[in-house]
Amino acid sequence: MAGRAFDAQVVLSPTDSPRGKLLSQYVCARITRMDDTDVGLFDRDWNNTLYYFMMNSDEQIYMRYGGRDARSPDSYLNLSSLELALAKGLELHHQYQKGRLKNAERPKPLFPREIPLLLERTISRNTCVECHLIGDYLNVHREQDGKLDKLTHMYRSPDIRTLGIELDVPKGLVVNEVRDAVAPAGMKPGDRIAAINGTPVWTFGDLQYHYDKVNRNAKRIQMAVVRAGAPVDLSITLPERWWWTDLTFRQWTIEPRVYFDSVPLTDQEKREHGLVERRGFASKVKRVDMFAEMTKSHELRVGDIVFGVDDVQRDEVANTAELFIKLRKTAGETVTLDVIRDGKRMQMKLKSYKMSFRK
Amino acid sequence: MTESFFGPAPDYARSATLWRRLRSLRLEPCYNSSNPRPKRAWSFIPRRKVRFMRKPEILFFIVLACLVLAVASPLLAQDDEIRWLDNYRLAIQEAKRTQKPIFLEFRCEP
Repeated sequence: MAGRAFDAQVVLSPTDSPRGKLLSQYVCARITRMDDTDVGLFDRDWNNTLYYFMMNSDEQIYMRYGGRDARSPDSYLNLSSLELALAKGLELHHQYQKGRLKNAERPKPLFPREIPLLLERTISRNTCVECHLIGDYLNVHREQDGKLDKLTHMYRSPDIRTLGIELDVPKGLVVNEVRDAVAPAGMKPGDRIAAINGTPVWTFGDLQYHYDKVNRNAKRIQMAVVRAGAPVDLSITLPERWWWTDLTFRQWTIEPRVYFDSVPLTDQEKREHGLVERRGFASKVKRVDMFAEMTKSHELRVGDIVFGVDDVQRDEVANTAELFIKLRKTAGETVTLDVIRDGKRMQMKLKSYKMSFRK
Repeated sequence: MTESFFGPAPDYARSATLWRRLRSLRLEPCYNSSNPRPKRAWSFIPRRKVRFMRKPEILFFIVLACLVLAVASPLLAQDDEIRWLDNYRLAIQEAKRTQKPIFLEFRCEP
């Protein structure tokens, strides 16, 4: 539904409902064209098709509402949590009016017409400036300028579930389940996440946006939670590849599409196959996408072991062959794979595919 | 006195033309009947008047009612719905004027 039902429920909120009563204390605006929007001020993960800001007439943003993950566009959209956010927004507004909130520095303005590819391919053709195009063309320019950091710009919005945080979505940032990295750090079910690396967060949208700002080389993050009304500081050790997310829904043109998935080999499996590079990214193909055959991009089969790409067998970040290609190669590039099939070593070509938009 | 499906014809229905008109309106099917009368939709119009009403008068009331509804419905709807602006600058101006915070939605409709 891409948030369509949620959008309709919010826009058509009856004035006598609790949500309607909260909304009637706001000036409500719904923007469907991004042409004249300051995308510098309203920066977000551009693969969200529905996103909200609570702010004031001085363009001070109190909080964000929205955010999605790879599972669904509306994993974190919930009318109850929106009501909590609306109520908090009013409270923050009163604090601001009384001078109790500090003004945040306004981000540098950036308008869609200042993004050359967007101007050339959409604005000049009078077609809609779609949100995902803003994100994509910004990344294409970064790639052209040699400033693209794929860990940050391609793997946007790391998933908090990778840390082991499962939220009680209707209750906003109240934690429902903890496991993995956050359990040993002391997070408990019922805690309400209040800050990340010192920045207060009120909604999942806030949390996701500020978690995305964490340096991808970071080893730890600080989170503050509220437990039984009292603040508790937690120091969380980030797991390896904490930033990794499934990119399928994003349709990046900067992402080399390889049309296969693989799982890393264990040390034991590497030994069995005579692979000397213990820290290599050798991985076993577990799925081949039908597009591989349609586009003739490669001839890998399920069960093949890919242990090298262009004679490289290890990487400081990638733990699988396809992640190595996504991170280190450009979309559309052809690479040579070192493969073990039925115990025999062979080489084969893989032509990565570059997405394009028919705009 | 003549009987009809709609009850006894009243004495004052001297004019056959008027009676035909009244019958065609079918507004008083139970007049003088011992059966309980159905609740009339036109309760704001005195029954005696309805009996005398001619088609043009009924049409006048229908048109009047439609006009009232047409004028009143947007006002009623406004009271029942949140007002959404579609212009960011207007929202800023309105927020300045009313001292309210802004709830800004960005909806990308692919």
